[in-house]
Amino acid sequence: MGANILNLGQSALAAAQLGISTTGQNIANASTPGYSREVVLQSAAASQQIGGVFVGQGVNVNQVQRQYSDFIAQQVNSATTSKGAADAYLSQITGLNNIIADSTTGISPTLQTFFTSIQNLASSPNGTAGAAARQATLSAAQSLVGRINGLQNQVSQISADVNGQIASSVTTINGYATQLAQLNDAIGKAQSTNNGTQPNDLLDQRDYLVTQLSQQTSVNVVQEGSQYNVFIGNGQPLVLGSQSNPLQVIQSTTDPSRNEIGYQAKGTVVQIAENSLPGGTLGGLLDFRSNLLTTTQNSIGRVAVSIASAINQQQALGQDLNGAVGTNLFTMNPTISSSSSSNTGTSQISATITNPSALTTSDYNLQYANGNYTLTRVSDGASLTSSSLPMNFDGVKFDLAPPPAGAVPGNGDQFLIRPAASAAATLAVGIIDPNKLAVATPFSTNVPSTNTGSVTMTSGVINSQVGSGSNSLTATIGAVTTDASFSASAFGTGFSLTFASGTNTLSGFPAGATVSVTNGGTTTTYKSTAPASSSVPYTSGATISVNGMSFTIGDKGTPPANNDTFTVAPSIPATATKLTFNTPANTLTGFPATANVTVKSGTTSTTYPAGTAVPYVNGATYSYSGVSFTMSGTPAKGDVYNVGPNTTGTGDNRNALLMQTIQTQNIMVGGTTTIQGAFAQFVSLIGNKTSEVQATSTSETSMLKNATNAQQSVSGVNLDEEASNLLKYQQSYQAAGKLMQIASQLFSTLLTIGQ
Amino acid sequence: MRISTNMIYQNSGSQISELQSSLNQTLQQVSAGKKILTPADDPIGSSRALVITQAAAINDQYTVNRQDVQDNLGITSGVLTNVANLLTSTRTSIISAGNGGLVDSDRAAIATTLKANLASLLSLANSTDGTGNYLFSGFSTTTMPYTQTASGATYNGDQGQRYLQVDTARQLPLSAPGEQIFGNIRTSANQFNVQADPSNTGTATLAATIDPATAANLTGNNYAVTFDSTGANFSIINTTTGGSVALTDGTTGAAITQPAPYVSGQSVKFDGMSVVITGGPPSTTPAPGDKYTIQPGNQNIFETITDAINALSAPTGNAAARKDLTAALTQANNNIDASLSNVLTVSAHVGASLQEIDSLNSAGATTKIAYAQSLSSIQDLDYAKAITTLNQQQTTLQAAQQSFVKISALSLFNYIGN
Repeated sequence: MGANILNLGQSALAAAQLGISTTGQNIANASTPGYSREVVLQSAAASQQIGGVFVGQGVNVNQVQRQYSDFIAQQVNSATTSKGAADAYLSQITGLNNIIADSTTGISPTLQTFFTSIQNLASSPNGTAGAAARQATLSAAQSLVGRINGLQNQVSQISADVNGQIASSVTTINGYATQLAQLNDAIGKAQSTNNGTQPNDLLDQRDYLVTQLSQQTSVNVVQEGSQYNVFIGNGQPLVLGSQSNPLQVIQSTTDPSRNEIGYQAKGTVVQIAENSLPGGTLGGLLDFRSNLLTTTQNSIGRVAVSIASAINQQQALGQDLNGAVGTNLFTMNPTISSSSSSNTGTSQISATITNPSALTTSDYNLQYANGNYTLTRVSDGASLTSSSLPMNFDGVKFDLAPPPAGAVPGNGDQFLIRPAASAAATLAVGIIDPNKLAVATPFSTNVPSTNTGSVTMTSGVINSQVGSGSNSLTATIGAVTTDASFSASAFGTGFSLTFASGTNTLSGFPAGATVSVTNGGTTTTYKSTAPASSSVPYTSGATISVNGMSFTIGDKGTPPANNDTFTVAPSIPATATKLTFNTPANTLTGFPATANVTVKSGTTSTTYPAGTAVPYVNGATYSYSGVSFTMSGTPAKGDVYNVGPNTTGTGDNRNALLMQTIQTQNIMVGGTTTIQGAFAQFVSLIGNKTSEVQATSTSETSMLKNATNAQQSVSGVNLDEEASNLLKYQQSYQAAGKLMQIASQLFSTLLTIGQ
Repeated sequence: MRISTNMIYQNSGSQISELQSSLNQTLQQVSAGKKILTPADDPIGSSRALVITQAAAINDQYTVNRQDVQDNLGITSGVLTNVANLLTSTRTSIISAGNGGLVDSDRAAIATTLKANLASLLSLANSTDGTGNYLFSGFSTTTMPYTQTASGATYNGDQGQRYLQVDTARQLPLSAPGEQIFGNIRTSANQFNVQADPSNTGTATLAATIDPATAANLTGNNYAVTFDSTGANFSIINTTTGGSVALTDGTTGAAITQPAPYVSGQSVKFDGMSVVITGGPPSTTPAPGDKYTIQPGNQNIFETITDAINALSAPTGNAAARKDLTAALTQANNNIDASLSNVLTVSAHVGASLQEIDSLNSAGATTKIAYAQSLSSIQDLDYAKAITTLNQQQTTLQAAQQSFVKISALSLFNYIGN
């Protein structure tokens, strides 16, 4: 009996001791991250029947139990993942937000200075004041280019930073994976050698690792016995038992400066698609890079393209101080076109911007498979399929480079084309001599004082870099429009088309050029390989496009005669022409022999074939060969009118007046807004996205806090509670000690009975 | 709910951190004086601010342009006033020269006055705008508009009109081309002003037109066609230069030696002109000594004054000469009237433009204020509100910090242990 009491005392003591040491453990690890408090679970030992009575046998300590809830832990992990993604995105976009925040670091001030300098140029085209104004314009252009380059530079730095962070996130994930595998192994061994008792500290470490991993990417844990099988993203296995499958950082096949993520599978590295790794820091970075960073680069790029293209085109319609046609004020190399390194063919794709107003902020994928080219806009997946190139999409012409390449791409070949991505980085000023700014218009008119009529003429305007003419008596060729891809140097002196009535075709296009004919909505393309050139069938009223030019040849029912020619040539220098007014026919004669004159009065517009007398209409605008002017008043018989090149007008500022209107014209985003407006839209986009991500981050933070609080309320150590436990176990120990003392006294009493 | 010690510290810590960051944000707003520190603070406002800033800058530029136009037009207006005064005094001189009681020397004195007026007029026509550009040359601002010739002056500029953008959709001219002011004096509705000499006795008519084929040879000089004593031949001389004229047959193109035989209806060509004299039966043919003068139908004021000077310098011995003088002076007066009318028309346009600039300036000033107000309402900080918020946030932060200190001091361990 004494021995029984002693045993009782001993078990009580042991239990109390364990209690104190567990409390001590809790107090010591109160601040250890990931620690779950431990609680001693004890139960009464089975009672024995002794002499018809069930006598208790003391206390058994069953377990030191870790207070841990799987369910709450999952909630914490998933909140950690969402917050990680939001935080990573926020920290990157805040950088972008700050770059464009200050009104002096955006492009707006330098853009304004540039257009102000053009207005001053209009006030002082020549002379000493002119020299100063011209130099000021060149300097303003340099500042604008410098600021755009600088902005792009800052964006590139953010891009490089994102790349670096992706790589380091992958390294971190791999580190966790290795540790998890090791822990799985240790836990498995610990549990198997100790009859299933839980190694609490190892379990805590493993769970904490899973939480840390959740911050990097989304995690799904499947428990298999004592092992955690960890899957990340959309099911990518990271840790299976004690095996870890690390991720790898690889270069993108289409852009060597971009880091992608892959995994090792049977000796090769397979790339994981970016949207298969959502959530966490990694997911946030990938999302930021593929959506916002691409949009940013393209937004800045297309602003640069629009400015350069509009100013250059206006320069080409003007005359500089030396009397020569204006050359490009801005130069740039806007397009980045890369072929995937896994392509089997050697072809490259070239992209030329034809309409800056239609540019979007997206990249484009071109894939060649089974004889068809599929062009996809990356941002929304819209696509266009065709069996041959060139394809026109969103203001860009996609073609094989150099066109047409003899080799067709290999089946399955892929290309990534970024039409405006490098515009901001490569924008530069192309003129050093201030005299080369084309302020004047190379065309003027003169009404001799010997005229007796009252007709006055406007000084005239050059409508297009290319003028057209024809010697056909029945068919006419309309005005030629040029788009952003037109190159005056490639055009040279122009070319002449000849009509063959036997085959009803037009031939004479430049060798190797691709000609498109659009009639009533359908477009047919005719390709040729140099030195051969295309021959296209003649349809009256069809629009013909070639090498960046578009024009219409048509007749009023009678087709052209055999060997009739239609010419396109540079409109500058204009031909010096003397027009004479004839009575009683009321016509003007003297236009160049091949001019097809268009007379526009009010809304009616008539084009007269070569050789036909052109009527005089009061107030009408006369256009031919790319020039036009308006005549008003009443002419008298024999009156003459001179039109031709502007040879002496150095004080002419007409082209500068036209150039300054570029600032307020809607030339961007499908013709809906100005340059400043498009940049303001971009600023608003960044601002909106930043404030959206800020709100997301705040709400995720509060959700994580709630989940963490729930977890802490189960697993967290409360020092006051531990203090009271200490007291409890201490008293328990003291009581147990007293019990043993009494048991020993009892035994002594027993022993002394016999004496 | 059970609270762990960690929770107490973490939650207080994060809350204090949040309060500090909003306090910091408010502080930055107060120091910058702006509500919008980054586009995230107000995305729509940021983008509107950019667009309004551009519009305001363009509005300011128009003000600068209007000043340029005003300066130029101011100089032009002054020149035109001087020109009008000169023309008026010239006319007065010419009218006084018509006084029958004057002798040649008196008229010669008037001619000298006119020569001085001519020189002044020429220098006014060649005025510059202060930066070295000629005002009245059209686009050719580095070329002197008028150079003096024997017959008056020729215009070397062009007909271009320079404009500046003074408002969103309005351009105003900086000046006027010389010909509009000093030229465009019509002496006749036809291409040439043909005057039969008042002392003619015959009744033939003379018509002069420009020959399109040789129009490049036009001189703009005055010519006189004189019939000899028989009335059957005539000769043509260039009265401006005093030089001789080469005649060609209008139909055959063969050269004709002077004096040319008169054939009614036969056209004679010289110096880009084609002249046809028509007369009827012998009783109405040109009589001996008949004279016709041919002047270009369009003249400039310098030619007019030079003609008047020449007329006043010619001696008036006989009645015929007197008649010539009277005709010349009348012609000159008419021309000066026409010129004055041109000058006043241009002056009126200049005045209208200057008035328009005034009204555009006041509209522009109003627009500038409107833009500034829009921008301010988007961007500028409401100081009263901000400072109140700042104080409130400071108080909250202080309270949070103080309560944290108090709560963290509470622990059971303070009471255990002896």
